[in-house]
Amino acid sequence: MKRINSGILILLLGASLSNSQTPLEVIKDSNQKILDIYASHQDISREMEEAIFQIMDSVTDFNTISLRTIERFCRKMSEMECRELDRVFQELLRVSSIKKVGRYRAERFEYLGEDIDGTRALVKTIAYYEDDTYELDYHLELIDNAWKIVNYTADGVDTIRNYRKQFQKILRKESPAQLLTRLENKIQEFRNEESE
Amino acid sequence: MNKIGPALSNILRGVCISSSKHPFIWFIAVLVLSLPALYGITKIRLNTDLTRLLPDHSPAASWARKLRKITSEGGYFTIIFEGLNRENLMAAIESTAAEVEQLEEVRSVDFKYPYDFIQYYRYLLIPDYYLEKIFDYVISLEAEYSPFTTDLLSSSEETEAKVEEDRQELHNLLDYYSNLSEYHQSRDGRIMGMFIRPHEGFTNIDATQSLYSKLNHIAEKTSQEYRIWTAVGGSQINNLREYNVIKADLRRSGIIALTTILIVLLISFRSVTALPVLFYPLGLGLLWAFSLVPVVVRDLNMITSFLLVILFGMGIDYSIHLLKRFQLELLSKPPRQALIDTYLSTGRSVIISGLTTALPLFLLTISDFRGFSEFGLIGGGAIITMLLAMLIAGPSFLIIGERMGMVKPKAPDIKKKRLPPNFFSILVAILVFLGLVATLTLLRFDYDFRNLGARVPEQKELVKKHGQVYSRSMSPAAIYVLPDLETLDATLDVVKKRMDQADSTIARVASIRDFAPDDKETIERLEFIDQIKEELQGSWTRRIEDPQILHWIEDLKTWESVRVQPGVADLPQTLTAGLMAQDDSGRFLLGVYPNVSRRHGKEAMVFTEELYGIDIPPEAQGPVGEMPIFAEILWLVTSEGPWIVAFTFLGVLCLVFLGCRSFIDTLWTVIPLVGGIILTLGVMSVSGLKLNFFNVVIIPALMGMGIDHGVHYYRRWKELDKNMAKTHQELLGPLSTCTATTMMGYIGLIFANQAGLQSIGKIACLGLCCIWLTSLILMPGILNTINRKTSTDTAK
Repeated sequence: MKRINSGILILLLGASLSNSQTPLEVIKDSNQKILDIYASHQDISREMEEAIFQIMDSVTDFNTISLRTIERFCRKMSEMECRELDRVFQELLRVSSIKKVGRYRAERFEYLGEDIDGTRALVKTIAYYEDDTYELDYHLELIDNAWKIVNYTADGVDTIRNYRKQFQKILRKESPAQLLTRLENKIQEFRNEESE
Repeated sequence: MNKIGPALSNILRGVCISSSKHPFIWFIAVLVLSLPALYGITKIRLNTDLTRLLPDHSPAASWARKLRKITSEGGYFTIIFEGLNRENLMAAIESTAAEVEQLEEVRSVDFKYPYDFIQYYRYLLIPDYYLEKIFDYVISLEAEYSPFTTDLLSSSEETEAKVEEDRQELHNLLDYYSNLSEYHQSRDGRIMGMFIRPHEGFTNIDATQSLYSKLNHIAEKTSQEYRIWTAVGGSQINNLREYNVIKADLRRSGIIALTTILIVLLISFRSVTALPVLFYPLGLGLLWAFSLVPVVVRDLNMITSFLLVILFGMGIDYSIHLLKRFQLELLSKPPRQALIDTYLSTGRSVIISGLTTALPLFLLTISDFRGFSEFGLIGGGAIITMLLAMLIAGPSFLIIGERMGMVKPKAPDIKKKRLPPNFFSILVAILVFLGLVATLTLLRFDYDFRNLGARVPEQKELVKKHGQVYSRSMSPAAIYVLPDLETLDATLDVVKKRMDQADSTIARVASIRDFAPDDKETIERLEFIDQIKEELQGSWTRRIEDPQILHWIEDLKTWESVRVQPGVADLPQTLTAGLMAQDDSGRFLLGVYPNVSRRHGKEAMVFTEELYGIDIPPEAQGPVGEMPIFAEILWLVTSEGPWIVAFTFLGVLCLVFLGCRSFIDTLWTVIPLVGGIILTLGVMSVSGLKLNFFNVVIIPALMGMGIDHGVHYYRRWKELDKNMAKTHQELLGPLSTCTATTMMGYIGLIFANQAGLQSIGKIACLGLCCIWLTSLILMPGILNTINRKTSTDTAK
């Protein structure tokens, strides 16, 4: 009984620690960690990608991104198809975040501030790389007492909205199974890049 | 049969006696009677139009015939100009246009776009499905340039080449609308084009050929005068070049066949003077047969075009047999008796052999596919006329030949021929078995029309420059003709609904409504344009490096939409020229473009099935176009082909049975034929040679040619009291010579540039070799085995 209580205590402590960070701090913290990784690696390596992913995974709720993208399409699918789509799409989000974000490395970030509305928040940033800049907006939500990223807008491209449009277009002429094939092919393409 | 025998003998004897008495009268009479045939043969035309292969009741062929004038078969010519000096280039194009417009074969000449009209309406003139494609493309670009998204739209199961082709088409379209120019020209303005619509479609080959020559002449003159590069292109060129390739193939194959046959004959007879005696009756028979072609079937089609060469190879056998026998008889008999004996023995065999070859060919006439039926009719008919010529003209000319010293008595060269060892027979039997396995597992039908066309040397430079001025698919795969705007709208509605289905093979449609949309589509277009503009507002577009894409993005973003669409009456004539009936009747055209390969048969069948399944208004006419024609040809060939082969085989079986009146004897007789055909198909399967709509006709033809070997061998073996060595000694030479001369007729086709005809040559030669192998190697082994078994049973 004593052991169980101490376990609960540690969990609560962890939760309150996480909650103690504002959305801006969550982003700043994770971005700094990513910049540190970039600083310590000259070239993009598998190890570096893995380290970046660990950081992104800890602050991103891929489950919510997936759910918000696919929920309207799930209405016309069987439960099994929907579950499978969710699983494969989350896998794509994870794999692509490792590969694509790794390619768009930044040297520094400028934080334009945070806008908190209850359990939702928007953190606006500008990422700098050499002479180039990115407008990077993080959409966060308070989930289980921690601020988690639930969407990204990069240079005006809303991630969930873009995927929704692509899914809508594909599912107009193709079956859910064909959509799954496209997603799996894309995951494979990313993995092949990995092996190359 | 028994009554026919004496009757035939009496006729043969009568002709021979009369011919030997008055050979010159017979000779002149036959020549005079043949004069009308000389006139008839000048009327023969080659028709490479594929609709020619379809029956009258075929929807694709009947629409093609009915609507040809209205749609001009979608054919056009272009002249491409290239030069560095813009003013010089424009002067060249203006002067060329003035000259081309004067040509009576030309309906319209365009080299300018209605600039003001297009400038005013711009993106509103892009049909909704293209706008949707542009929107999809923008979404793809967004996904590509964002670090958090992935482009899923481009990664379909389509080949990379197809995706690239579609994207290029979209780029060209956007390039055109964002860099409007008055002239038909490339992006840099160095290459300019002229679009020429002729009055006549390709069906009028003479008019097309004449216009092509005139355009070429004008283009060359312009090139010299203005010191610029010019070339004539367009859809009509491809048709013309294919036609010319077939004509060149015909000449080449004919020369090869004639030369090789001459060589064989010179080796066989060791005499030049014997050649006229051999060729005279054969030539007369072919002349009579082909003079009837314009009357009976109007013209030669793609498949029957080479029959003259093939029949020459087949028919020369009859002359060889008769002359050899006559020379032999002359050794011991006076000419008249020698002639009578020749015709009563060898003459009868030749007639029977000819009939067994002709019957399977005549069976082909039951086919709806004219490639089969006319091949059978002309082929079978020509064999009959050749036999008639041998009977009527042959005897008198043999006598004349003998009197003039062209034909001399001669004994055949008899060399000891050894029977093939049983091991060889077993080997061939194993090969036949393996051939059966290969046939059942590997034999395929080639549905790809790209593999059957003429290998025309591609004018790469012209194709490349043409592509920079004009889009790649300007001719629709199928066209509907609509009497009024209401019917056009109703037809567009049902076709577009079908196009929206997931399994649709329709990529897009083209009609006057592209430029004058109705209210509903105008709203849809404006909505799409607004959505595209909205997506392009994001700063992600800064990342695009391609200046072309950046240019059209900027142009589209800043374009102020016109909110009212043009009406049909507002459209400039240059825009409507290809979308209205070409007979000035005011009817509308609706072109349908596929999203599948145009020349792949299976895809053509799916596309056509889709079109035929659309419930179009009763006033609409069509569809007419190349894909429905391809599809109907394949439906006919694949559905009738197996039946035709089965019927022919049954016919051959019946004929053999009538001859020997024994079921068992019939079975043994057809063994070499069946084995040879199986071996042929097996070798084809293993070597990757596929059946196609051209060469399927050779299988029944092989049956007609190949059955002779079995008939002769089995009959002679029985006649010689089952003496295998003697039978083989006697028949090896004649059967080999027959196979060789027949092959010579086909061998020229192997060198044809037209791939379909080339495959006929390959399969025929292969088939004849295989049947020779099964007749002269396998058959002796089988007959020996039967003989041994029978002897053992009798001894027991």
